[in-house]
Amino acid sequence: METFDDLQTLWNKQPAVSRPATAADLMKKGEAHVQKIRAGHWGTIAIISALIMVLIGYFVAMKAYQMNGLTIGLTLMISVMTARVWLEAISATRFRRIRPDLSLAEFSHQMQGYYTWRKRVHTVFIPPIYMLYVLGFTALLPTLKVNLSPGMYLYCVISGYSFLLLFAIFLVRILRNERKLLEFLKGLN
Amino acid sequence: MDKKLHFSELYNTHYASIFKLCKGYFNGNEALASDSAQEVFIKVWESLDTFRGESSIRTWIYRISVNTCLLHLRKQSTKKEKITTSLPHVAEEAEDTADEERLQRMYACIQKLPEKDRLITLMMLEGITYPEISDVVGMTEETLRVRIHRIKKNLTQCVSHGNI
Repeated sequence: METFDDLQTLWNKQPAVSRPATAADLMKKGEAHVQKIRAGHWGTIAIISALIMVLIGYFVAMKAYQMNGLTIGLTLMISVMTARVWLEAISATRFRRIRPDLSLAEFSHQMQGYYTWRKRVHTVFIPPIYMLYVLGFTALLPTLKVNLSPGMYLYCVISGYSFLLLFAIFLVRILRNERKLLEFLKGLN
Repeated sequence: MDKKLHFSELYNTHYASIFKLCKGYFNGNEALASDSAQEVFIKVWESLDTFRGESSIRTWIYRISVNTCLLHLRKQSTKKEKITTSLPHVAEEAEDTADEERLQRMYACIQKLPEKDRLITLMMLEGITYPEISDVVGMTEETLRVRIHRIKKNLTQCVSHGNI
């Protein structure tokens, strides 16, 4: 029968490891990571701003009273995509606020809060966003049919709905993975 | 002290210990351990300015390590595949066959422990004191002592007889 001291001796006998990178390498990686986060944050704001500007510009150009399928479709698609990007930006900000140097109990508690929020995003906000996006795309089709060749129109219909189907599968997979993570974090208590 | 100098000192002092903690957590997988240990020190570098000295720097680094290891694998969907491919690494490095087998059994037994117990065990094996471990995991020292008593019993039983 082994004793814990025997196991401790065995553990200590493991050979020493060499460091795979220098401290300077890791400092560089750390700096690059911080820069990436900052760039990502401003990039998201830039994308949202650009989308809103396009939308406003489009409405000014088309004069809002001309409410046809193209206007309704594009408005719906741009609006819901903006909402989606905005939700992702909120999620990213919430995640970054969780400090990595918390105690395990506090860290897992805060991570649970984060993944509960993500679950709410996926179950409450994403389904209507997705439905409205599909609706927006569908509203575009009559205008596309008039303005495009039959072949090109068919290509748009098939590729558009295929993309939406794949995107839905992708969203379900994310939801499943994040639910597993949430269950795992709850299991820690 | 200059931040870069301070970080280099921390990295040189604590890397080996953090690597072993991660290696134990990932069932002896050196590639995963190396990745996560580097991730830990990147976070240490990023957060060093926020260290307020409320605990020892070692405790602070261990907090980051435990949280990083905890989530590193969970973000990947190929957990089982990665872990099963890890065992040959253990076999390659141990010189003595009997020790090699015992070490493999020990890794496997650590893997069987519940998540939190696994992390506590690895810190214990790395010589972290009880007050420091209780600070890292966020439980009272009294509760921790009871838990460690149970872990030691389960772990020795598992390595000796193969079951927890």
